[in-house]
Amino acid sequence: MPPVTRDKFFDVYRFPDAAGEFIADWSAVIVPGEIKTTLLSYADTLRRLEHAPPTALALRRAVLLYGPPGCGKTSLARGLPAVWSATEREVTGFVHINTHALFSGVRGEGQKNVLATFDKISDIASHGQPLFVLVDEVETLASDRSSISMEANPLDALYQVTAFLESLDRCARERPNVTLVFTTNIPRAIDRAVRERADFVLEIPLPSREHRSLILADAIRAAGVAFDVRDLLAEAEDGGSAGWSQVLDATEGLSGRALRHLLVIAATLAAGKPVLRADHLRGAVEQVTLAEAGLVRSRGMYVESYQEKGTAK
Amino acid sequence: MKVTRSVSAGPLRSVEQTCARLAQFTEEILLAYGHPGARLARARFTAVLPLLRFLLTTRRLADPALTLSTAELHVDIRVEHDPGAGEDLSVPVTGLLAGPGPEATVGITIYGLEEITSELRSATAEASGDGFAFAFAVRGTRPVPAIARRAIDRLAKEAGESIAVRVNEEFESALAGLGRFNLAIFGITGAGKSTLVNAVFGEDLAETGVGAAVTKQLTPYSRPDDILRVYDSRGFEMGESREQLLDELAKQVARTRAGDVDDYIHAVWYAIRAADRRLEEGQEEIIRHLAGLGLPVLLVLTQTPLVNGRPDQKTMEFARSIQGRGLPLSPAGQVFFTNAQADELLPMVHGLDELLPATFHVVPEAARSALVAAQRIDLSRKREKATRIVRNSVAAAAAIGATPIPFSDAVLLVPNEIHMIARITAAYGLGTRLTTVSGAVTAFLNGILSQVGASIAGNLLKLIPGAGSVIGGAVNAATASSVTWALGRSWMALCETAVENGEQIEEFLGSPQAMKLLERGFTEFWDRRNQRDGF
Repeated sequence: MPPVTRDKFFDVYRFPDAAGEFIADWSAVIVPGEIKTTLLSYADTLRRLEHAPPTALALRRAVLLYGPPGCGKTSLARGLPAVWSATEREVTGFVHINTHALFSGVRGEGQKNVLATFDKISDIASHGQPLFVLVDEVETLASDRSSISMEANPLDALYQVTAFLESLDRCARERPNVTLVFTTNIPRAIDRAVRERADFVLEIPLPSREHRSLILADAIRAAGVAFDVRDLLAEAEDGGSAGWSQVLDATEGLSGRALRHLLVIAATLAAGKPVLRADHLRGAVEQVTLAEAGLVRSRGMYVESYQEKGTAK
Repeated sequence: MKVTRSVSAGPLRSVEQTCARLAQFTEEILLAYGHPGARLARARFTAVLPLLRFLLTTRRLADPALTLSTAELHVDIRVEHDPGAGEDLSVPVTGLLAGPGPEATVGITIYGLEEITSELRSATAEASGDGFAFAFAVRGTRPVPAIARRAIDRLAKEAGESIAVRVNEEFESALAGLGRFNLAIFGITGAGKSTLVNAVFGEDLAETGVGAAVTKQLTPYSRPDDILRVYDSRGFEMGESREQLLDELAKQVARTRAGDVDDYIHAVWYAIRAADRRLEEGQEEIIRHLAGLGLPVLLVLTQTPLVNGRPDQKTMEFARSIQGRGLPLSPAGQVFFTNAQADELLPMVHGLDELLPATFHVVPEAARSALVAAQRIDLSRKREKATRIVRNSVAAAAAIGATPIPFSDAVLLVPNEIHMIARITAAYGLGTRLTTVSGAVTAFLNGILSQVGASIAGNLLKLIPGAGSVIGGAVNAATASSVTWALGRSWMALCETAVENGEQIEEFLGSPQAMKLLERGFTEFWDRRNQRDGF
């Protein structure tokens, strides 16, 4: 659904108008159940505490979602306001910040963009309706000040982070109806100050064995519109076969997105035959795990960060 | 051959009489010298008569002490005529702009009106002496209406300035007739009070030192024309203890009541932001207190979001919870859902058209005219009132038209029209007590005149007695009422656009859009009226 306002730096959506697509995306994300509940309770907590003195509670009105790519951080962040609007039955705003566009190599531009964007957010929030603001891939904007290298226009990057932090503070102080959601693949690259400005950090992990099974079954059902998947689906839903178990073992470390994508590869391997069978899927798994493994290694940063947190897969 | 003859017109008995005599002299002179264009010259001269009338009446207005019987006019008519230069008597005299005939230049100079005729001199071909001089060629090489039009343009400006005093008087009395509407607005900071007030009443409210109730608790804001005062509760709900506060409030209200009925607070808008969903005990107490003081309190939810044209469920629940408390809200416990400014989350401005009529009904009769004039979202109420004003003025014009009125009076100077324009402007809430309005009225009249001259020349001739069919006569009742009607309607159209633009009349009249609107409006209404009357 189109946003009500599309800007270079952000899109603005209004729910419940056309919330369907966002809610569908939220529902399709298969993550440990408590993640969704936690997000909604957090939003609820903020709404209840709207008139509470913010300093007394050290409220930051921000949550940081982190985890590997393709696991549903963005879908959850985008779905949250839509789901909120539908369950609370109130008009709810959503601003999706185009983080990459904000960053500018031109001297002073990035800083200006940050300030302009938060001014706009402040305007939209001035009516007191709940407003969710998503800063996707926050590491782009708020790279760790301590690791800024000398060749990358260091002062500008520094000013930009400073502007961003100040804007966050002002937003939390002046607009108690705003909920900020940050996402990142690389929590370590984020400025410590930004991390500390989130009320809490929520990991959106790689899917567990059980969730992998659910995600694959969901994807198989989706492929069912074009292929005969009855046998394959039965196997997935039963989950007890050795073949399926093998698939689940082999897909460890794949994201939800990669898992769903397996079906596309499997269909391609089926080479135009109308029936998708388990061996097509296994073939796809073999192809992809190799590639994904490479990808995981090359993006060592987030693997490292998991190790640091003791959650590495 | 050059012939010059001076004639003294003697003391002026009346404008009409003087003009007729001048025309007669011209003809006599030409006949006496055997000029075959004598009859034509007379026709030409009658076409210029309106100018003369205009001059005389302007003079009379500018100096009321002057009576026409004391103004001495001396007329010097000079005819230059060469009978030998190929006279052609066969050319028919077909009208004002008749074709070539024997050439004769008639120069006429009228003495005795030096001050006001100096302007005219440059417009004439054959200026002589210090008087009101004009010349024309009998052969028709110089169309007289063009001279007349230029002169009228100039004179209209002068005349407009001379009526400034009258316009101001009329306008002030029209404003005084409106009275004043006093609204108190309560609500915490950020409740959207000023956005609400600006949306309904415009943005030209300024803090005023006028009135009794200037305190930090209840600050009056006023329009420049002072037909609206808004008392802002800024600061009322913080600081002091509740008793102190309620006590202070009662004192404030009593203070406004000590004065004239125009000083009473007529209604209270209590603003709560819909998304706040809170009505605290203290606020509730203030509402009860205000109602206890006899003030109608209208509870306004501001910045109300809509879903499918209705307030969202959370807001509805909030409204119901307010109504469940049995507060003394006007009218009949109603809660108003409004949004005064559109943006992303609140894309519709709504609810003001319900709040306004409700307010209208709870305020005393005496404050209603001012409320209608001051608000800017319900044009139909303003239009209703303005239409009544035009109707009355048209009737009056028809009555006046039954007595002889020179052209200049009919369009420019009849107090009836000035009265009408002033009252319409006041009814639309577009003016101030300042003199700028008279400038605006003048600009408008100039606009009509130049437009009349430029684009509906046919009607000009009808409008100018003597040039058209009504030779030497007055404006008849039908013409007078048509002019009044077209004037009133085009002025109304102008006022409505100004309201929509959120501009005052004088600043709006400065724009090219306004002048175009007037020209189009007047022509259109004039044509419509004349078609209807078949004239």
